[in-house]
Amino acid sequence: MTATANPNDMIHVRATPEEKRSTIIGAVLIALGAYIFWQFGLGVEPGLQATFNLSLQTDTVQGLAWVVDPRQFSMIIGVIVAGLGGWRLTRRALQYTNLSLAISFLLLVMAFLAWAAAGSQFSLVGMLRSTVVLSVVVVFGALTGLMCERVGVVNIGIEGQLLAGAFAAVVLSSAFGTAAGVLGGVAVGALLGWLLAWLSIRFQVDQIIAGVVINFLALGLTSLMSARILSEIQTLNAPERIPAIRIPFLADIPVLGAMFFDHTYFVYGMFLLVFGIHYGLFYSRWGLRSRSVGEHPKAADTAGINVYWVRYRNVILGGMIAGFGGAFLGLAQVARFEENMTGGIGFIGLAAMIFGRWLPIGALGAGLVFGLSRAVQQKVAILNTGIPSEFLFMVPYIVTIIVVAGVVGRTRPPAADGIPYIKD
Amino acid sequence: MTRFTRVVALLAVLALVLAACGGDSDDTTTTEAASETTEAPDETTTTEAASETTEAPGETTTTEAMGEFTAVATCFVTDDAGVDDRSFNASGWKGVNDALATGAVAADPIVLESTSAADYQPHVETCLAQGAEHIVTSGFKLADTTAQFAADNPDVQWTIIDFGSLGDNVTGLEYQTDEGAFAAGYLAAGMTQTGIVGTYGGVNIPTVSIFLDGYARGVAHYNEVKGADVRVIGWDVEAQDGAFTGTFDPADPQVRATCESQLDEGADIILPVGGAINLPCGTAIQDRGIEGALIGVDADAVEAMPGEYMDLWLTTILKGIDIQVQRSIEAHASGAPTGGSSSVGNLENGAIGLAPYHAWEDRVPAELAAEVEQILVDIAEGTIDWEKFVVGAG
Repeated sequence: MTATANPNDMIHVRATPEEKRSTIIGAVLIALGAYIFWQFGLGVEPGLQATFNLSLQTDTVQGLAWVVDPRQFSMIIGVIVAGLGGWRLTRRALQYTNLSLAISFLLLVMAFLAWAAAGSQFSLVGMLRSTVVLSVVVVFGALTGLMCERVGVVNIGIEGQLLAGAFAAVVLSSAFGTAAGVLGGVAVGALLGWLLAWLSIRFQVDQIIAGVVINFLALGLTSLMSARILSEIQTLNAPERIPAIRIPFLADIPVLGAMFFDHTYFVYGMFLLVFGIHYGLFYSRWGLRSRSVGEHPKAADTAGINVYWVRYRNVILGGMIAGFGGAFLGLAQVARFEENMTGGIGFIGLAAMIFGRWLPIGALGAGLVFGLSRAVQQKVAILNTGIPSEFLFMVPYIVTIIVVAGVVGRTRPPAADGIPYIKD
Repeated sequence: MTRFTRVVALLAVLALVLAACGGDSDDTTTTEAASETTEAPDETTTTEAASETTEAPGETTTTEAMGEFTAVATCFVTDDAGVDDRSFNASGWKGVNDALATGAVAADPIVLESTSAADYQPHVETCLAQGAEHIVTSGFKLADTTAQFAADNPDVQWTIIDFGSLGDNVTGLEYQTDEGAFAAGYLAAGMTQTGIVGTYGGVNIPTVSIFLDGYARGVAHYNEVKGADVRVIGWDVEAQDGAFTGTFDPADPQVRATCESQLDEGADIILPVGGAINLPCGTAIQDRGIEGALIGVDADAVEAMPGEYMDLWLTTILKGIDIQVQRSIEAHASGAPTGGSSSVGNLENGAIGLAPYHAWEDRVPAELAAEVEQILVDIAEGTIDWEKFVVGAG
């Protein structure tokens, strides 16, 4: 590029949105790096140590710990984050913008924890394990939404499907055993999935309204039965708890064992579903058909795909996933039903689906971010940092808002999302 | 499209009706407790000095000889936790029924369960419309409603739980629960095998935090007396803040995670404060197979909570809401209503105490048990120097 005589070079080339985003994120990361350097690095008294414990009482390997000097540690992290920001400012390798953001986020959390734990200690592995457990329902919710929206049906009723699944699982498990409970939860999820599909496909009801109806229906029915039946016959609200299954050898690995290989089968199921749905959506005929119905139902119809059938099938499958997630909530966590026990987590799942960009692996990542922010909150609460507990409660939601507000870049829902298909 | 409209309308109506029913299903439940006579001889049980034992104060009815009661029509309004909260609403309602048994309450007292703050006002109005002479409002959340309606209805006597008096006709019931929590903290510090004890609450509000504060101070007292170094996690006395779940719903995954977070740090004796948020903690301790224990609050957990956690309850910090409610109604029924004053329940007057150790009876060393009893006596007599939580801040 030496010739200045070329008139094309004189034309001001406008930056693409991706380039602009790279610049903005670069500037933000540099500021963040500087903040980490001053606050979490220089803000710590010299000589203090932070101890991250890496063993749980239940672990095979005991006494592992990672001791850092928070001052040094956070200063290095500050430099790395600022360096990533500088790299973004160059607008090179735009595909790594989100990766840089994710790495910076994790480094920020680490620096913050080192600062909070200066002169003290806490269980890092416990926090990471909590992260996985707290993300489970969110991920199931996000996968439910994804199954539906990928074929063009918006599912606002995830919350209700989770709740009804939990209720059915608890009651049936109390009466007929665990297997009946889990299957019952899945079946009720499927039923509510069918209801959503029926309303939105057969009657072309506004899908938002159909979802809201499902939420109210599930909340009302379960609360009514809980107050009328469960409070009278308490044996129906006392299911056997589903125990964790330790995976031999893998569970003995320090840190990773406690995080991933010592859970109930719901958690293993979550990981299988995430990778299974990802594979299915992008590498199978089922996935191609589903996506085509969600993007351009008319073209799919022309190609001989039964649009209605594909939509019914996926929405019902989505409902089953929510029912399974509800069973996790009711049978693996506390083993009892409480009125409105989902408490809005289905909606967080919906947000996770969006900021996971309608991708199963994105949904998993989003769920883990939510879980992490809650798990960090618990550790900070016992480290006496002076940060008000009321503020800590807001953190997961602030993170959600920031991320949904566009940090992950432009997201694009399936083109036919929420639009009923009317065959000519 | 008429068919579509019909289907959706039907579903929507069904959903709304069910949502409404589900919430208020137990409206106007009346008790079946048989008390046909409006006048019953009062059972006078001698009051055992609360300081003397670790016995439940709830079992020692402290009805003083006040002569015959003129039964008053009583109405009980819960806060949004409902009457089956296994906590203060349940305990308050028990107090009404205890007063029914002694003849101070007229037959068929009414209980109105709230499911949200929007229910408080209509419920109180219902009570008044039903001709209630004494209205018990359960919890500080009803303070505004109580203050407003008490001023407009000077002929009705009111009792509010966990709040100070709100007028000449309102009896405030407050509790110095940190006195019991202090002793429980001392006990926990003496019992821990890991040297770490934990505590967490639902939300940082005075009626919850007072437990955490007393507990932490009790542990500190143990450390001071014994030269020990037991650590409390979940409450910072200086900052008056600590670990909270942000919810009182035991099924919220956050609750169990909060408990597990403390177990991860090595805490083996935990005091969770707020309704049933201690249940998931019992589950977590059982799942891990560690030798841990829980400390209950309000009513003796061994009696109030489901059976499977029996051997986990080290003790319970008793908050005799039932006793105070009963006393307040009985005072009204005997012609000397206590409206205009606040009654602070404490160790001395028997409204606060520690429950028996039940399954832990054999495991608590006799020496430690004796020390805890001595502490209960010392607190009641005011001979321990410690900073009490200020009640009545509202």
